[in-house]
Amino acid sequence: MNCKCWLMMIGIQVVVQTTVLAGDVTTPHWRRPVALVITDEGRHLITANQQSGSLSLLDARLMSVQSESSIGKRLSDLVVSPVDNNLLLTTDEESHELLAVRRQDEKFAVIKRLDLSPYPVTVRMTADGSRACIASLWSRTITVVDIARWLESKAPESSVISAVRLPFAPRELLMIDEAHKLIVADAFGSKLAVVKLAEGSSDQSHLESVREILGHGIRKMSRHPTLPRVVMTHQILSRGARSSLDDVHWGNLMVNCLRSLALDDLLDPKANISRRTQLEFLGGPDRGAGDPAGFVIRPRGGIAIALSGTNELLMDDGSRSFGIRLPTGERPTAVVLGTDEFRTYILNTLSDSITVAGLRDIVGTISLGSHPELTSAERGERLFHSAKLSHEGWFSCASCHTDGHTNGLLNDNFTDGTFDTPKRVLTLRGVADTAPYAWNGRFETLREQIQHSIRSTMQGEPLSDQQTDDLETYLRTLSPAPPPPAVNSAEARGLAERGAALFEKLDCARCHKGPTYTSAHVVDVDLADERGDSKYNPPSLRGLSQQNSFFHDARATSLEEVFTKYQHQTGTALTAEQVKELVAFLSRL
Amino acid sequence: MTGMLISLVMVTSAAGTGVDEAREAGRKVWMVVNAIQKHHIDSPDPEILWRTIVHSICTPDELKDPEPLIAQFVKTRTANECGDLLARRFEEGKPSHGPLSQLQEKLLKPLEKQLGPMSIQRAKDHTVNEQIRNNRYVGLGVTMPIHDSKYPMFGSILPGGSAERGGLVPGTIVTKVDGRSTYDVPQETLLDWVRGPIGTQVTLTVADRAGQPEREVTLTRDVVRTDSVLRYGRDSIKFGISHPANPTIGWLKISAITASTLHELRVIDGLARQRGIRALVLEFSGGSREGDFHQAKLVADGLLESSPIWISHERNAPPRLEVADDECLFRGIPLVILVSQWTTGDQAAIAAALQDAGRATIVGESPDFRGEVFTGVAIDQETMLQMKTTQIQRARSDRNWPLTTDIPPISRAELAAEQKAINTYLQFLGTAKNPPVSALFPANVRHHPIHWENRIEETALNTALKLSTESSTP
Repeated sequence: MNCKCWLMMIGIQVVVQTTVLAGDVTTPHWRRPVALVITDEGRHLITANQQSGSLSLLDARLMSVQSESSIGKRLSDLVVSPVDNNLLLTTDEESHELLAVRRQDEKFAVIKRLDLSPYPVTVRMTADGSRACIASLWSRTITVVDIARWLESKAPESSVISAVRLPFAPRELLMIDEAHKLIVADAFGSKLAVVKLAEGSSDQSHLESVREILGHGIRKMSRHPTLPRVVMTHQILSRGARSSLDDVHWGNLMVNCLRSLALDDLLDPKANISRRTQLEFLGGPDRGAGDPAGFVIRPRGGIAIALSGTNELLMDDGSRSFGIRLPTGERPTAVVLGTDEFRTYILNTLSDSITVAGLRDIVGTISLGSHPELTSAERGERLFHSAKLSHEGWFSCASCHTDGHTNGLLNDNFTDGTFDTPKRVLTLRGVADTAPYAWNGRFETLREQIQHSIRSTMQGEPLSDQQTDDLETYLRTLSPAPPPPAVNSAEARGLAERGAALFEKLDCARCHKGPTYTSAHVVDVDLADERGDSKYNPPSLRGLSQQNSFFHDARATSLEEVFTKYQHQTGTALTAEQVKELVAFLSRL
Repeated sequence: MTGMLISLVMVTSAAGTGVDEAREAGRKVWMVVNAIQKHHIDSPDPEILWRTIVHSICTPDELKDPEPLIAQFVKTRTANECGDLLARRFEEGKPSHGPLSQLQEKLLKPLEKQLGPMSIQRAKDHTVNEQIRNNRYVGLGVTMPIHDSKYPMFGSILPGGSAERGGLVPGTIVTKVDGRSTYDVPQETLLDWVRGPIGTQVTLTVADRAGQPEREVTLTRDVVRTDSVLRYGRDSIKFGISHPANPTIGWLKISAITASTLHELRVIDGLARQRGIRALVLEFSGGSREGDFHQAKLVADGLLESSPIWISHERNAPPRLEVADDECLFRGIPLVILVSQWTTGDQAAIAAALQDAGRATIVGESPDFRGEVFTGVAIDQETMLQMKTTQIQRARSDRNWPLTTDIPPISRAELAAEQKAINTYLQFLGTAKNPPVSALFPANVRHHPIHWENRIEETALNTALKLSTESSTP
């Protein structure tokens, strides 16, 4: 065992003890930290913990936990006000609220709550601390809040300046203060939107542009500290490459990369954002860099990137060779830079810890507290996010199925017995009761499908029985993606009622039978793949409103197109009104 | 091609004699016909295929009216049925498998007139080719050139291979492989002895040079990787990527299209930006005989931005238009592709795709590629049939094969005339009394013999220089 490992072990032991002594919550529990901020000029770190709904305060110098305060149900993000160190904003994706939290000494207390569009996942503040922008995932909404008005007012709703609807589910946000704009990244697919934020009270925030990059899985966006560029980590699933050992090994199938875009191009709705793009390819043959997530760019050169699939920190020394890899805890998702610009803190979401790294090695590990044994589903979740299941660590299940959902892209795997017939990646949300599996329905059980995907599509080592059980248990916990709230308007409900009648009249249930809206037999849909095969296992229609591509080859990009452009087997030509009704019904499933 | 071929005699030699051989030949022939039917892009009606076969085994009587016999073969639905048919003929004393034992000569040769080249390949050779195409060749990391001695010699020792790790040096003489003498053993057999699955061991008896004492060395077969993209002069790109004459012109020699080529180009893309490369020459200079069109598609995709690549036609599948994605390597850097008679089909296809998209200027000699893709189809566990399975159509409907270069080379005849004129001039100078130095070395006279290859290279370099100047002009 080398020195580094000894250091880490000592770090863990010391810190666990500290946490037990100082922690507010004494029973062992999992926290699942999802956001990390550094504050008080680098003296403190604060994590927002999703599973425990708590905030943990850490002393960065002593590398120890000072307190843990339970403040919510399922926290998803955290920011410190740029004008008041003791004011924090955090989002709760279970209570669907924005929480204003006041820190006093080592304790945190909620001072204000604001109802938001459901599933808020990210919050960012303007540099002057006057506004907050919140991304609500399944609601596909950006909410802009006037902070002063919210904190002072007795009617918090009046502080919501605007709610901007998006054509995709958002997650990562980047504030461009000087332009009064917000860059919004697709949580699953390849879209990038720019929202023009309201300046003054009369002007409403609005969606200015929606463009696409080649890629998906944008896990982090950041401004370059010295150049007018926006940098992001993401992946590219090549539609031309195959899920073969060689295409995986040489990085032809899945590319893990760091993309740098010219800020001017991004902010100009008419500009071509590819024109001045630069890509850094991470990892290489024998050593993939699966699922790059949070990163920091040191102002004096050098980048540190958390590889959330391989549990490593990938660093360059300013020469862009990315020659340094350091081990982290499980699923490192965020990285923050210490004020000395040398030290980095890496948030390990699935091991409740923070890894502290120097320029070339690990300094130590801070545990957020004691925790119980993992359940089968929790073990499955760790496997789901592990790129070690794939050949050489190039990608994890979550690479294509972020949050168990889908990137909506095509993958050419050998499940259908041939290559050169790429098929759309299906969502795994709600997958528990939709047997059989695969586009050709060749797998009777979820277990078989899991084993096949790891071995064939990911070119990984066969799973043990225990691992297969755990992954299956985890997949069975994933419920279908909920529809955006817009489907609940009186008008939408009325349309959907008529759509339901039409669904029945057209006998759509012959293939898409409720309650799962699928069926156990393959059906000829008269849409041939590249080898002339047109028989498919009907995908479930649940969660359809959260998909942006349809059919086996993603040829339709909206639900309307399914019926208008491709006239999907309704047996009769539909009027425009009928299409509207049917879409309204399907969007509620 | 003949090196890759074997006759059916070899394939069926283990089957015994007489009736068993006839049955095995029948099974094999049926599987070949079936493979052609399923995969050959121009496969004719099965009756035409069987007619050719029947003609090679008819008795003189049957030859007068071969239709009943043809009908019998056409009716066979499985390899075993066909095997039984030939076995029956053998038992009846009629010609059966004799002529068919030379599958290549008797069956494939006549069909080649209408179906293009076809060849039988050993599955193990096919596997090796596939390993090479995917840059994961399993071996010792040596080359074994043909030379005069009766004992084989290792020509070069590849870096990182197990031979290098075992301390072997170029010029090593091998006298035994796993205890078997290598004296006068054919190269193909030697390769079979040396090659094997990954992780297995082979013991060689070697002498570092002729006359030196022998020693035994045990090596483990391992993956040997080689770069498919080299710099000018066949050097590794670790020595740079520029042409020696001009640091702003990148020069890459693509020695083959393999599964690693795209990865290698991605690495070079970063280097090209760092080093201020303003135009890039890609020298397409050879590779696998079969070519790898899947990887060629990925490389073309990597070099193109949102353009059509080509349309591929296969049997039993609708034509497929391949289109490049929105990302491209070497964005903003003009490309020049240097082609020649050595350019392989997969490379020529990439060059054509880049020409059709207006992405590259093609310089040199038109490669003799007609859009025909040959693929190995498994006949059984030991045998592959190599045949034309795909026809590639160019992205631009007004262009066809062979690829016409944008800047053709000077013809060899012109070059010879030029050389002759220079020689005459130099001779004249040699006889003149006290010629001035400036007359000996006028700017337009080369001081070295003019090589055709040098002249093409010079054209490619000048084209790249011109494009780099144009692209930097606002």
